[in-house]
Amino acid sequence: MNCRDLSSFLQDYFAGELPQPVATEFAGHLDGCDNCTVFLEQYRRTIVAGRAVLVEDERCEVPEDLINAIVASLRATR
Amino acid sequence: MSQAEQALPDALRAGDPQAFEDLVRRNTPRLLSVARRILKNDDEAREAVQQAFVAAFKSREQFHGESQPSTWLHRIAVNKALDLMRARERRHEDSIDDLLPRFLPDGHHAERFAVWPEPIEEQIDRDRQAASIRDAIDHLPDTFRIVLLLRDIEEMSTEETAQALGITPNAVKLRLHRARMALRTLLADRLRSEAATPLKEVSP
Repeated sequence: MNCRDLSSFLQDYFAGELPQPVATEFAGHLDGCDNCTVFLEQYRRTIVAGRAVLVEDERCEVPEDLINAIVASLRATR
Repeated sequence: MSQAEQALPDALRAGDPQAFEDLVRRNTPRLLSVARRILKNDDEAREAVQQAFVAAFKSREQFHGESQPSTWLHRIAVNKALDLMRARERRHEDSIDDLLPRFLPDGHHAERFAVWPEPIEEQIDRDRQAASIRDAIDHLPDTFRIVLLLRDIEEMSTEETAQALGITPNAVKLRLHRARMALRTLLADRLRSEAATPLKEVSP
């Protein structure tokens, strides 16, 4: 397995879906390749980074005007 | 699920105005965030949320409480936002290729990756950090950005995402992988420029 092969298996790796013979080769390459070790860690942190945005966004203000507009349009729909 | 939420499906199906208004009040802030992330436009996001509630209200008899009301509304809002996005004039889409890792003919990485500084997800200045990540996500081409949003941020399954976008589960997986690799490149660019120009003192 080379670096390109390893990168193509990252999604399956993080989903816990690496089939067995591949998992052994994957671990073998990673053991001897510092660059892929760094890349794998950054791929993981990229996934986590998205969640940080989510948490931040959910603290947003309550849009009273929008809520009132929706309630009014639902009353009109009825 | 709270007692009020358990009683909600019946009240919703019956068209109880108070139950629906409570639902609007509780869910609008979150749904607005979801629609904003997809559409990158506040007016369109508000439109999507309003349309979602009207659609939910009209189809309330089909809601049987097999999922949480909040999940039901989330899926409707995602679909309305996607509809609005598709309705826009089709813009020229940038290629993602420049953001994917390059390999030498022998399969080795063509680039030596610099270790990122402290975990970006634990940095002290969270507001600036979130803004920087959001900006990076917004720079992904839409085809890939939407898949990353639905899978990694909205936490929809591969199958749900495939259904919402009208593509195969395999296409979802391929696009998600490319989107993550491209976002990694964009985050690396931002970390490099932030490291070069520190704007603040880090305090304990």
